Amino acid sequence: MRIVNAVIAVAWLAAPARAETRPQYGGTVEAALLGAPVTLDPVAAQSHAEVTVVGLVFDTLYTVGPDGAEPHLAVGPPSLDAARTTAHIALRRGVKFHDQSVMVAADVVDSLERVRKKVAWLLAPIASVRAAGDGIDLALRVPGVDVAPLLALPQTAITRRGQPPGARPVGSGPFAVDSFDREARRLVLKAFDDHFAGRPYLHRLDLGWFDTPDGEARRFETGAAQLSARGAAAFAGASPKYAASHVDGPTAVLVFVGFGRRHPVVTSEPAFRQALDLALDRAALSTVTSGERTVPARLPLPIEAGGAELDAASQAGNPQQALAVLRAAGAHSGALAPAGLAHLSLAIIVDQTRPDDREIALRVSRGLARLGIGFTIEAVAADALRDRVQRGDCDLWIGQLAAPIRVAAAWWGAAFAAGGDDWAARQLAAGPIDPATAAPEFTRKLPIVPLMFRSLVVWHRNDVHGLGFDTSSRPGLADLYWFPKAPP
Amino acid sequence: MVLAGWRARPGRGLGRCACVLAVLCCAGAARADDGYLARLATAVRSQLDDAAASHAVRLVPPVPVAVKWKPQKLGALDLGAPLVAVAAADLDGDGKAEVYLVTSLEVIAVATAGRRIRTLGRVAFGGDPAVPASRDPVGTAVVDGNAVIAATSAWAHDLRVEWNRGVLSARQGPGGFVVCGDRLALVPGRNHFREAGAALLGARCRSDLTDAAGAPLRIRAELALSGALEVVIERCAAAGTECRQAASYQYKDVGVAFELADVDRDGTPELIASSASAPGEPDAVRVIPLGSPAGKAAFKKTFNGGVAGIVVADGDGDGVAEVIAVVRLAGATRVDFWRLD
Repeated sequence: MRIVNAVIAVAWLAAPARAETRPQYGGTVEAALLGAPVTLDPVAAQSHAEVTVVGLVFDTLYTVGPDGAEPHLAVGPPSLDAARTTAHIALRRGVKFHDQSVMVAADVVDSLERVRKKVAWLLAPIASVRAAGDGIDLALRVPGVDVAPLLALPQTAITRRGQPPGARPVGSGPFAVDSFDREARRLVLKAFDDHFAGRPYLHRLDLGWFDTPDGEARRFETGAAQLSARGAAAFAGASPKYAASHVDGPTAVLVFVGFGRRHPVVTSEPAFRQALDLALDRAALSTVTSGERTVPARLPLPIEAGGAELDAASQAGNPQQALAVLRAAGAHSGALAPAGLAHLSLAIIVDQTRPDDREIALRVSRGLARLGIGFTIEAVAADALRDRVQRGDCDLWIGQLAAPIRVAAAWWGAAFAAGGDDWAARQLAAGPIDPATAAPEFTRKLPIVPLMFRSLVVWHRNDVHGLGFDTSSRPGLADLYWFPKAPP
Repeated sequence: MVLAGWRARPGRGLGRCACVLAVLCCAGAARADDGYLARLATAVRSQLDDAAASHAVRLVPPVPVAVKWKPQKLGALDLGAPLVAVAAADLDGDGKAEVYLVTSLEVIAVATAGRRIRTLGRVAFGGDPAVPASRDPVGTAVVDGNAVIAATSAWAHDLRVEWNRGVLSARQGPGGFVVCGDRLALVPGRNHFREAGAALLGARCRSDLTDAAGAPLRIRAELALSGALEVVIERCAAAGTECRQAASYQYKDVGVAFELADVDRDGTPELIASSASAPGEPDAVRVIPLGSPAGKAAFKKTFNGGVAGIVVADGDGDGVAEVIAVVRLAGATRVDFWRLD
């Protein structure tokens, strides 16, 4: 061999290089949430936007993957004692919060106890939580119950000392909150170097939200944002400035109608809710989309969790039957009698930062019109909507739930709870929820009226890689990276 | 004088060292002002030179083999977890090298001889998970004597994997990643190493190759985050000592899967490398004789998936090492095995 003592710089001369190296670190990505997050407190998280942010800033003991619950802060699955009434969960050691304090079992105990107090249904199978050995012990109300899927829900995320996060939340998640400006509609997250599961590839994540249908797509089209969940361009046929592709998530976001207490004699009446449920044209509702898949639904259960697919007739609704139900009820209740309904106008409130919800409210209002009921639609700020819903200061509201698509207990629990009904909590405290019991109970009461499940279609610049979704249709923003390099 | 009657003979290296030590010990006791030490040193040097001359290691040039590049898919295997590193060696003593696949959960030994891939054994990582881990698991696999040292960023401890009476077994190591004989640590929470201020994705070292004349070579290749691979070759004296840098090369856009070998045994080692683009996308393996431009590869094979590992080993026991590439699609735990020659 003839070797010369020289440095020779050589490069691939063939076609552009393709494939296997490792993601690089750096850069910022601007993306949008599906709406304004009202709160960053895990236990209060409800909307898709909130559970997305909670997943970025906080960690849970488990996550739900394609094959079920997977350990996250936990070292392994819960281990049961001989009587199967105590589940022990070993915790990872050395996990740090954003303030550099080390997570200890007491943080987990306090966080889960707070969940038990604030979201009764969620940990209903658990009687108590205490620190034990290398982790925690859960006293189970139902011997042998699998609590791991419930401990994967974002509401069970661990906070420092179990305290509600303040203005600048301290979690242990892959990103720390850098700034949260509600007026500017911007939440800026920065990478947490010490995240136990690895530092995110991006340095920063700029999250915004919009009150116009095309605001997000326009920003993506012009190249100002790198991700968009509302299309690649503001106008059909237009192309974004940078080459782009899209990724489709699971249909794990439930859009529903909730009920307030402005006219309780009407909206609390099961017959009214059943009539509205029958009067809705869900086939028309499911066309409210900017490209994402929609699956009309009358139960709060995705097909993947055992829900039923609606046939065409069920999707179209049955206005005659709806009117019949209402008339029958009107015979016993003056408020539901035709004379009473003729002068009734129900207020539907929607979150103004979820422009799709306005379209959805319009289609819901057509259902009310079929019943001969007047309506108004009011778009309000996200926090105002949350406040008015809690006070009951509306008649109908358009809501959102996001949960792991295959975890039926989470869907039943969240749906009943969203309607202020504790049936699911009582069931979960006694054992697994039986769908054969839950479905008729839900249909009889209709604590909320499910409209459809929807997915997320997220467009991304082709030089932003790593985009995927979890089973709750939350985009995995912590795994994003620029390739080959982030713009300077 | 001890040295007077000493004659170097093959296999007497340790004896020679003992003799020299004995002389130096004696010299320490002598007077230093009568020139005795200087004469002694000269005598020692002379005797050692004579001994070395009579003990010269004969250079054995490699015998070239004709390599026929003919890619052939050997089979596929679902590993159950992401593949992070690959190594190959005949550790079970059957005359055929096994391939050791390191995933984020375990080490899997497979045989590539014959018409299909056969799993020989599995051992799992255990103990404490690494905190912090890296967002995507990375790892190393290095053959050390009769064992493979396997490490992944998912676990705090590495594994020393070996065969005991036909059973694949493992015991935990101290942690860290064995890279060219050193134990390195990942930058906390990240997917690369930092050594002497430089960030590295990985490195390979070979000291068992020779040039065409049979002179031992020491080769070190370091892959920077940019995808630039720096290859430094040292040529050594016949006994493997007195190595001097003979050449250095830089190749750009190299992926994390690469290997150094002299596949055709012509004395010019080859770089066998994947390319550097986004993980899991279509990839290619190029075989480039060191010193040749990357565009003048001796062989190139493209794949629909990303090349996650490359090994050069004699999997079929015919005395000639084959190049095996392990290929996967983005995010997949299923891998395809390709024999390239």
